Amino acid sequence: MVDPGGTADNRQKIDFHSTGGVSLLDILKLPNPRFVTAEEAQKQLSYIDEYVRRAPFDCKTIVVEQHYIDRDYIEDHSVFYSKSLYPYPNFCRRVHFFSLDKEQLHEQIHRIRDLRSSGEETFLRQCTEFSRVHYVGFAVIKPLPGCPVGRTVLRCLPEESGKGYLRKFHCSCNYDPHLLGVRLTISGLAFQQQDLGVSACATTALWTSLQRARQLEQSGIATPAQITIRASQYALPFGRPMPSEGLSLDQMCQAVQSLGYSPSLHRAEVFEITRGLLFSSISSGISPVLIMNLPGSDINHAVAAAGMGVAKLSQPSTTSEIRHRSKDLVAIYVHDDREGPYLKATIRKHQTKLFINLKLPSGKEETWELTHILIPLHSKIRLSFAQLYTAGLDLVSNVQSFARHKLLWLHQARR
Amino acid sequence: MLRLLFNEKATMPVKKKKSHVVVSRSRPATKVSFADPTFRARFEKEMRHWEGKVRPLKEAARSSERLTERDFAIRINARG
Repeated sequence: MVDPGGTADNRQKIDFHSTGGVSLLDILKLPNPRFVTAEEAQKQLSYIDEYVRRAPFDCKTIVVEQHYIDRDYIEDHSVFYSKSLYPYPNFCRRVHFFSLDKEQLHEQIHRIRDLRSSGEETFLRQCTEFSRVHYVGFAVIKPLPGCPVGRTVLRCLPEESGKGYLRKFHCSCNYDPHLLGVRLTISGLAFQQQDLGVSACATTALWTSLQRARQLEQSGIATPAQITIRASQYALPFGRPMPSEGLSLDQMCQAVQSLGYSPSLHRAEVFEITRGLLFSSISSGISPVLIMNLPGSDINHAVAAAGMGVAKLSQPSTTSEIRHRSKDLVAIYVHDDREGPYLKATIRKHQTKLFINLKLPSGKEETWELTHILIPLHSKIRLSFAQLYTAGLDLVSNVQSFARHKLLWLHQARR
Repeated sequence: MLRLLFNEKATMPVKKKKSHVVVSRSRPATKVSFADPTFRARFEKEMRHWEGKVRPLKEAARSSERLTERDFAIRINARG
C-alpha cells in the first residue's frame, strides 16, 4: 500500500532542505494519484514552488514538519475520509519557506530560542523581526495524492508592480504558525486546492473569504467540511453534499448566514456598479467571492479576491463629472482553487458587463464573465452597498451642482 | 535745471500695481443666497441636470440587489 503522506513514526521529525537544484516535489516525494495525472494533481505545488523562489522572496530553505495536525483537514477527515475504505491518515505535513541558507536558518532559530530567557517581550519582538525579513510562508500538505495542497499562506506580492499600478492586499491578515518553539508571523490570505471530496470551488472560495471575515469580526473558524455541511443543511438541489458536486448560490448564502454573517449578494449587470462594488469591498478589507461564468457554457466558478491593482496616477474629479475612485481599479488578485494563490485577473468592459481575464500559471489565459458577487458582511452593517452608493451619489451630485452653479453665477456677476 | 528735473522725477510717487487678491477684495462682494429666486431657479436647474446624470447609476445599483429565484439557483461547479 502506498503511504500518501508520511507515517506516524515521523512524529516531531523536522527536516531542513536547501532549494538549490531541488524542487518542492522532489523534497516531498508524493505518491502518484490514481485517477488524474501527477502533473495535473501537483500543478499547484509547482506553482507554489515557483512563487516562493521568485524575487523578492528568494526562498533558499524549505523546512518540512513530517507530522502536523491541521484543523481543516482533520475535520474533513472526520466527516468524509475516515469513512473511506482506503486508510487515509488523519495528519498532514507542513512546509515552511525561508529566504535564508540552511546553516544560517539553524543559527537564527537557535539564537531566537535562546532569547526566551531575556523575557517574553524581547523574544516575541525578535520572532516578528525574523519573520518579517526571512519568512515567506507555509503550506500544509494533505495525505491526498489527488489534491495535496491544504491551508497555504504565502507572503503577498510587493506593492510596487513596476507596471504603472500598485498592488493592494487589503484582504490579507496575520497568521502565527510555530516552528521549533519560534513564533513565526506571516501576512497573507489562506488558500487551498480544490478537493472534490468535501469541497468544490464554491466551498473553498467561501472558506478563503471567511478567513478574513473571521479575523475582522473576531468570530469562529469555519472549516471546509463545516461550510459544505451548513450549505446543504436545508436544501439539496443537486443531490448528496459529499463527494461535493458544487453548491448553488442559495446554498452558499445559507452557509454564510448559518456561520453568523450576512450574505450580501449582488448581480453584476452594469460594469461601473460592479467595479465600484469590487473596489469598495476589497478596500474595506472584506474579501468578496466572485461568481463567474465561462461565456457560452453552463460552467460557473467561484474565486475569492485577496487584493487589487490600482493605477498609480489618479485623475482628480472635475466640475463636469463625478469620478468614482474605482475607475483606478486595474486588476484583482484572486485565489483560484483550481490554479493557485494571488493570480492576477485583469478587468475589462464588454458591452455593459464586467469580464475577468485570468492569467494562469501555465501561461494560458481564461476569460470569465462576472455574474454575481457574494460578500459575507457582519450582521450589524445595516446599510447595503446600493443604499450607500446612492446616498453618496446624491451627496456628490448636490455638491457638484452647487459648486458649478456658484462658479457660473459669480462669473456672470463679475462681468 | 537738469538737476532740478532729476530731483523732481526721483520724488514722484510710484504708482503700484494692485495684485489680483487686492483687486478682488476691493470689489463689492457678490452675495450668493438661496433667498434669491433667480439663483435658486438656476441652482435647481443645475441639480436636475446632475440628477439626470446619476439616475441610471442609482437605478443600476438598486437593480443589482434585486435578485430572483433564477439567481439563487445557479450552480457553481467548475473543476480544476
